[in-house]
Amino acid sequence: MKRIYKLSLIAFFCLIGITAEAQKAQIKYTVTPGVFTPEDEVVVEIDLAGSSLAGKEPYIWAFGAGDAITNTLWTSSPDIAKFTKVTGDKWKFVFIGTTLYNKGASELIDKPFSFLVKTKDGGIQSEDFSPTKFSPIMFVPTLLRHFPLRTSQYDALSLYLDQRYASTANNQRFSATGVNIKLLDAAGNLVGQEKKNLPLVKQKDGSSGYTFLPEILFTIPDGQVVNKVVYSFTGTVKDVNGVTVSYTTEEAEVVFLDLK
Amino acid sequence: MKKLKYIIFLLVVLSAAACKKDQLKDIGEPRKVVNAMKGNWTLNSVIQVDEYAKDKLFPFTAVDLTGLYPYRETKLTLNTTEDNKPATFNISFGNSPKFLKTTQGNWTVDNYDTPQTMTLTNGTTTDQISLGKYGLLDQGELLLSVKKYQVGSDGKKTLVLSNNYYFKKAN
Repeated sequence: MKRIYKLSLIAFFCLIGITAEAQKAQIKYTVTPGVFTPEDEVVVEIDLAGSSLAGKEPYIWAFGAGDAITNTLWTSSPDIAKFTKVTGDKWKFVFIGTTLYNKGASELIDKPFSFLVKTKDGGIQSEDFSPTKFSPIMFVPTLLRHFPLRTSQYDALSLYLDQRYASTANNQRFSATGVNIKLLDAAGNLVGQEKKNLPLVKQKDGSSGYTFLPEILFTIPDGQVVNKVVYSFTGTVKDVNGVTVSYTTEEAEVVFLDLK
Repeated sequence: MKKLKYIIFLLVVLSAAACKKDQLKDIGEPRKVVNAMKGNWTLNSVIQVDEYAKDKLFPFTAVDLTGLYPYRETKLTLNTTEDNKPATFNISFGNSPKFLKTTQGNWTVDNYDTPQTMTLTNGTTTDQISLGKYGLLDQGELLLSVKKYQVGSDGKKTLVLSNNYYFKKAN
């Protein structure tokens, strides 16, 4: 008798579980791109047709990498969580991971992007979806590199030449002796004099670099806003006849930001 | 079987009886940060940290700027009142780049017991500086960090750069 009672209880709870699952809206979705970093723009498209959410205004509830800023109150999702209508029962939600979760990229990398779709009051919801994890943001080594990546005219700037990443024969073979640097304002006018062939310092990683404070290397009038640095590396290379000739790489630039 | 139960019961009782209260070490007096900051300091090293690259786990995140200019000529004096509250300050750069707007005036902290930020004020001119690890103070070092933020169109601030100034106690 006891056994029958136990089995009945188990069956009852299983039934409740199955019924609850059945109440979740069966929707279709796509996430584009399929692989994305915390800084990529991602589009979630949903099709509510044929589900219990059809004809309703859908809202996102995002989680996985922590609670998204859309997750304020389950019974009253905010407007920022609302999908944008595409057509009929098709809707889309566009986001950037760092903004959606209000977290730095390193806090999101390798964490899942998970979401569900719900009505504003949470009365109807879809099942949970976890399409993918946030991918690492790849560092791509290049011939010319600057440090830091985001800087202002008031901060030290380092410019590097790494010939291991040259894509032309001359860039790979030339003997670098210095760097040419000029400052430009927003109109493209020179600020101070261009500095030529400034000496390079060999770095531990094999690259060559030059570090400077713009306001010390150049004479910048008080209050003058500098828009960017344009630089190229210079040296010598043997031409086809074996004669040593001067050589300068293509120019690269660093745009200064108004950092606070 | 019954014997085994008694043996297990006896073992549990004996184990419990063997327990004794751990004597926790006294953690000592709370660290007096402002008091430790008081005095004369000489700049020892300058490290620029690319917080933007650090956040993305990129390989190049810091550059040592110490040898670039005569930063070590920078001397900082932090004075306190008799009851160890922040009072006046003086900073002389010598031939070092002037990395702060103020050179003298008053200094304050955001929280006396656990300061995170120090503000240097001279009239309407101010410098906001983040304080580094308190543990450095025990080793006679003071880390002052000037943080730079990129501000988005929505007003959101993102830390992208830190200039870290490591001072050594001069006396």
